[in-house]
Amino acid sequence: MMCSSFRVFRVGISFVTMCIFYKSAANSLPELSPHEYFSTLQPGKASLAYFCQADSPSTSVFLEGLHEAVRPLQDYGISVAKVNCIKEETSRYCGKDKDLMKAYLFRGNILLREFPTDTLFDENAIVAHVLFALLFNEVKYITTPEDLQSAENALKGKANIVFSYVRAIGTPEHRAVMEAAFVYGTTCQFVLTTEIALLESIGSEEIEYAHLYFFHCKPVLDLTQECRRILMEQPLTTLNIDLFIKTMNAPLLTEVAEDPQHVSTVHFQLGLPLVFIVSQQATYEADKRTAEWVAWRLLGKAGVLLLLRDSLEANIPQHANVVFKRAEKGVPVEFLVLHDVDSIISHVENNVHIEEKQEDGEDDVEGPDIDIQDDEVAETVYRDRKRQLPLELTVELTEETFNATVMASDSLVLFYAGWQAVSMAFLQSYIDVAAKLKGTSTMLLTRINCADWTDVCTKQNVTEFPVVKMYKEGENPVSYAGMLGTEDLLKFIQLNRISYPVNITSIQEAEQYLHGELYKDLLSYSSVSVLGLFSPTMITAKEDFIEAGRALKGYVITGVYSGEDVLILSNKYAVTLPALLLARHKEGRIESIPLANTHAHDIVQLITDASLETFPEITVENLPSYLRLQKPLLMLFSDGSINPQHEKAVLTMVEQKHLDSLTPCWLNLKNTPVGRGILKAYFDTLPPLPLLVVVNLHSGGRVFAFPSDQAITEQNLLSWLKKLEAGLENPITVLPAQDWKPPLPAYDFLSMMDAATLQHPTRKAPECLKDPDVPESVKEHHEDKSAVEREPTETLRIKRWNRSSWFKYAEESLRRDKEL
Amino acid sequence: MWGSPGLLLTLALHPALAVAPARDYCVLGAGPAGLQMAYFLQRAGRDYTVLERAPGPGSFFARYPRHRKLISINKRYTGRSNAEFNLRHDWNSLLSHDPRLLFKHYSAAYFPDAGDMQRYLGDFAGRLGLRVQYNTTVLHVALDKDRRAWNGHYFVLTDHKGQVYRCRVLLVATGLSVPNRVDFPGSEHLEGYESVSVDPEDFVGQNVLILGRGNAAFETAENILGVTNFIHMLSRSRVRLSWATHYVGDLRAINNGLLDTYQLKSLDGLLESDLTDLAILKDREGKFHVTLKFFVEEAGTNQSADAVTLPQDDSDNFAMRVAYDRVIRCLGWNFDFSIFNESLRLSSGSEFSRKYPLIRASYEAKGSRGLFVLGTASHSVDYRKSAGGFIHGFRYTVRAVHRLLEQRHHGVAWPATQHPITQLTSSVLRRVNEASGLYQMFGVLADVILVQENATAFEYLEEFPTQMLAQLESLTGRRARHGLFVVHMEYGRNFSGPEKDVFFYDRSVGHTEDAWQSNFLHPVIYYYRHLPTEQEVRFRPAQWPLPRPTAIHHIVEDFLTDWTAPVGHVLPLRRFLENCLGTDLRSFYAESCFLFALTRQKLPPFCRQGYLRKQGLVSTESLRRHGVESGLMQDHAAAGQHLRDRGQQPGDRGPVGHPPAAGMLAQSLNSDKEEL
Repeated sequence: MMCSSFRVFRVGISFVTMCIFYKSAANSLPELSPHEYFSTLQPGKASLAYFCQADSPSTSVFLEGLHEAVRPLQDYGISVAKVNCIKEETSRYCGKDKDLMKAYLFRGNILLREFPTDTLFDENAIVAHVLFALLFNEVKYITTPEDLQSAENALKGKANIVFSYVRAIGTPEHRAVMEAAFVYGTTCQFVLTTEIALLESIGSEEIEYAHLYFFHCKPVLDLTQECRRILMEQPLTTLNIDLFIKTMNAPLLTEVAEDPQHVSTVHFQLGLPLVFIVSQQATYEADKRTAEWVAWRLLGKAGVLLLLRDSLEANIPQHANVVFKRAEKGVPVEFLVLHDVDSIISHVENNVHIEEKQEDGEDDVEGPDIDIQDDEVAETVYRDRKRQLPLELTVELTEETFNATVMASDSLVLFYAGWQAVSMAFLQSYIDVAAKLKGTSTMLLTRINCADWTDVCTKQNVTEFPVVKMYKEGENPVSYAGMLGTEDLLKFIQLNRISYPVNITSIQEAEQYLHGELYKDLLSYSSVSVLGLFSPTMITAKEDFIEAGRALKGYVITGVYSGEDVLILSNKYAVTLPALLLARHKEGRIESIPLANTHAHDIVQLITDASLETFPEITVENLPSYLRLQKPLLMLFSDGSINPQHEKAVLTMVEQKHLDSLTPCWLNLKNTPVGRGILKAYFDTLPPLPLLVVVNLHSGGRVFAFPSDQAITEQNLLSWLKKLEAGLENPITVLPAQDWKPPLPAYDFLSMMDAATLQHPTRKAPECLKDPDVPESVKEHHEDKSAVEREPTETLRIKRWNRSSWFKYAEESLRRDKEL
Repeated sequence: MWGSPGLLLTLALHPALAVAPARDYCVLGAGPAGLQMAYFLQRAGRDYTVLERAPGPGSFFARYPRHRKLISINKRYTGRSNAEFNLRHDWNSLLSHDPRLLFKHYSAAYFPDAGDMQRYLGDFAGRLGLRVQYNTTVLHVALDKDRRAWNGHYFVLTDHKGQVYRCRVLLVATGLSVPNRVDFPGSEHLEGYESVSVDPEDFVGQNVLILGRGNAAFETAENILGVTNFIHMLSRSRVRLSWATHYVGDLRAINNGLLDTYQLKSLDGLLESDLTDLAILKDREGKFHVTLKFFVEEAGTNQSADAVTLPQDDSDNFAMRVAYDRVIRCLGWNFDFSIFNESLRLSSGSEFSRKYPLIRASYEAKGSRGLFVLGTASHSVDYRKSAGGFIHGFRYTVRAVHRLLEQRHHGVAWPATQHPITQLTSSVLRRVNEASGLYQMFGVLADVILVQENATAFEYLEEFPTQMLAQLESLTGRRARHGLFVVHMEYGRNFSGPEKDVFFYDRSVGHTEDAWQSNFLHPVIYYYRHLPTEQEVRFRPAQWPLPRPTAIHHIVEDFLTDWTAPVGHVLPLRRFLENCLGTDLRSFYAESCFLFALTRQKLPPFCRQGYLRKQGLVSTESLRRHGVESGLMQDHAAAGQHLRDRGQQPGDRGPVGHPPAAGMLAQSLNSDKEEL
């Protein structure tokens, strides 16, 4: 429970502890005769008395409010009493008419104010009015812009101003301001208005609500200078105002020399983020000026600290000049490289959503709406639902046509479910493939909606979606295991035009195959062609290879040769049998790999690894193949094609085995624009390209940047990598290691059901008015509920549900139960 | 006397026992349930035989219902081609792999003729080649203890020719075949439903009293409503309307013509009284008078109609003071316990289900292991709740029993499919949208999802009897060590019931937040961190079909029973599953996975299980554009110019975007998890 204590000594009022939650409801309102009342008054002490006729009704709206106000007023040292005017003791405060009874505020036995009861319409109004009367000097009430200007001028260089606009006197906001004035009235001047025009004159918008500004007038020494005005952005509640004034009064800049992760200031405790400006001895003065300027700009939004790097033990990345610590607990600090004050400010502003301080549990936190779609696939498919796809390019299968179709011709079948977003997203690519192949392929592209033909899908062993299977005569159906996209699927279909492994029949044919003359049109779909060489006696080894070739069909071109004269080839390529020959057509190279007792799945692995490039351009499609190697990536970001010199430098280093512990690769931002997102994550601002980084994904997630002032040459790279290895370089950033938790909470139906059981067990049940077991009160509730909800069902369905309506009611009564 | 008759019988049987080879499965009765079980046994290649008294299958339907109209609907069109979904609205077909064996091919009538059912069952047995031995009346069933037998004993069946069958497992599918009689003075004057004339001509101008308030009683009344003077219907309890109770065994609207005429002030009427207090007297003209048993006993031996006091003698406005021409008894049916030897300890159920043998929720008799009761006779499990007493219900419970037997005796674990966790939402959606077993046997059969270690994968089991949840591991041969979901369907808790107004105003719920208040049948998913114990299942809170779960999700009721709306149905379901498992189950395009792979140390499951295995989902141009418009995806190509505006844009969706609000599910579940 939040409980904030203010301790201030005030004239006539002693130490006060105020607690936001009034735990007990021991509001006893003493009833006294006039004589008794006046005898209790103490000098200097404030007291509120309501004079009423002895025979007046014991309850009224005013008395209820007064009862409520007893406790809060007592907390401010103000006693409250109800004085019964009896005939024997006449008092001038006892009105003559029953309807003209009033409440009076005394200090000692001096009358300060009299209040007609209708101004004190509820607890808030009573507290606000009483404090307003007592704090006459501390809270200045003004009505014109000129009043404000003169107040401001009078206080420049002396004190700060808390200026507030409330819609009316006696509102809860007014009470909150008065309660704050009670605490801070001696240190700041409070200025209050109810005039909208006044607020407009200082340029406020959205004047529907109460506003509160803090005017920093104390530091202003020059009368011509304006006081800096900071608007409080949270709603006007006692707690919010207290926190706001505290941050306003906190020191502008703090110097620290400890790990930012552990630093906490009043700002942080108040739920604001912290900005550390990293400084070192040499630039201290300049940094301090920058920091002060930043602090001034971020007043009320974040705490600003000057972090002295020299006396710091913790490791701060070398490039980082700003450290940002989010207000949320447990989130790691961010190390940033920001080059001007504006980017610091905008970084903070973009990353801070001011959370409302909860005054009490009843307020709904308007967090992110859990009814809003946050799945990109589901959302995009939904948004695209009205677009007509050229579905006719593919054959739609049914239970009746499925078997006949897949038996009659080589077919590709997409199994999908109309209600599943991922399926429907992929269906678009599938249709694209059909469009690209139109009239050129012997493969029939078909699809079946498993939402309609569930039994067919189950019979084909399909229980997840989407699945693509290829049906070829005389072969078992093969599931496609590549990327769910146009390009890879197209590759798969093209490569499957022939069956694998290709049976090579002569040395001559083998040479044609290796030199890319045999299946010219397929070469663009497979980066390598693999030829297995076996002597005619190596039956098991050949079988293993054939199995591997089948497993790779659709992804890699494989062939097998086991003629009597196979030794000619093995001699030519200097390899002992059994062996693989790997033709890299792009590079025009043929490599040989011996195979000894290698099982089929190892051969698959071998070929998969061998078909990786030494210095690939990384793309969305091929990254997973390279991540499998589990090595840190040495990645060159390039805006367009790679600089041949850089390529040469890296390739030379590869050849010299300097990069064996890394996966060297490069990224072309033109082909892979998402690379910009990566750079943003690493550098915050786009650094000049090309740029080289080492990303250590598999251990620690540290990212190092090759110094941008050095040329990318073998020597420079080598020495930088050495430094890296020796741990002499600082990472520019550390990739977050958070788990992927549920993005948002779910409805807690169990609690709702519990609450309902406690509440009224038959809420949604039909009303059985005849049922004698239903207590009268419940019946009544049902009846008036149905009276209220006489609205057509259909409009109810459409209307947005009002979060607070019923459930809050249940909560409230639950709370009441607890109190009892 | 030398020895009990039982001993004699055993002795007499012994020579036969020695020669009779044991069968693995014996099915008693070739009605729908018996044939359904035979089908599953046959498909599994088991050793079985079906013993049937009549010369053909489904002999019950040769005579019953007397007026030949089945009240199980034969819905031939649903507008859907999904065969599984269509079984939700097919109340007559048995389960098989042969689409020709769907009842819609046998009758065009919405309420089909009983003769068509018999023809259908004949085809079912014939086409599938089920092994049924007809004209075999089993007269006696006894136990032969043998420790080597599967269940510690053999079931020994003797037929009318003295032929003996030894069975390892006995599957009783004999239905309810004994008319229920109430014994009171004069009950001998009653005509029974089983023998009363069905020709309306025989009732012309008569006063008829019908005892009973079930569908048989109303069916009988309906037939003669137009020719009688009036019909009075008498029973102990008030009429229960099936559309109020959602129980198909209660009075169906198709039979309720008499309710209509009664309430429209014709001479017909309904009365309530305890039948056991009654007496019927026959007067000299052969007419029947209703009086009280008490008066008859008072009159002693002189029981002529004139001598016994009639209620109207004291209270001259007594409702049944007229004389009746006929009194017809339509009081339902009982299970035939007579052939079962006492050693089988096959006793009848409690007060509400006295007509059924006492069985467990696994359909195994409480008294003897290896004896299972199938079909109508097994209805004690869900009497007045679900459809287990009817073809469209017990065809699924029979399958469940078969799966239990496969695990128990043949080591074949309950069928399950394994999937990566990314398929979880889809798997649930698929089933709640088409599964007929969950729909027909709502509240009784449920799908169970067994979460695997680290919540990366799960096993999906279909149609498990929920009341046996505590014994799930031993019954299915599957492990439930890392939490489980139970998916089933429910009506609103206070919605159904006799005398409830199911048409009350504002009965439908449309908002996802109110889903737990849904009234019509809707999917409910229970999450348990641990398999509930037997104690927890037995002593679950009143009105709960299952023990209190760790968390619960209701998919809001849907007018079309189509639970595929992306935001109304799928999204809240996904959030529930995510929060139970503490993971992120969103799907991502390859491009997003690529970005995550290079900017975060960990990837969401969808990227891990798809993209990283080179099976990423590539977006198309059109989808990407929508993604950027929605703010869920970033336009990196255009973002090149202004890299500064980084930060909390909607497209920047890190893990755990927002701390969950207090009291919401996420926190409570995760914190508990860590404690464990």
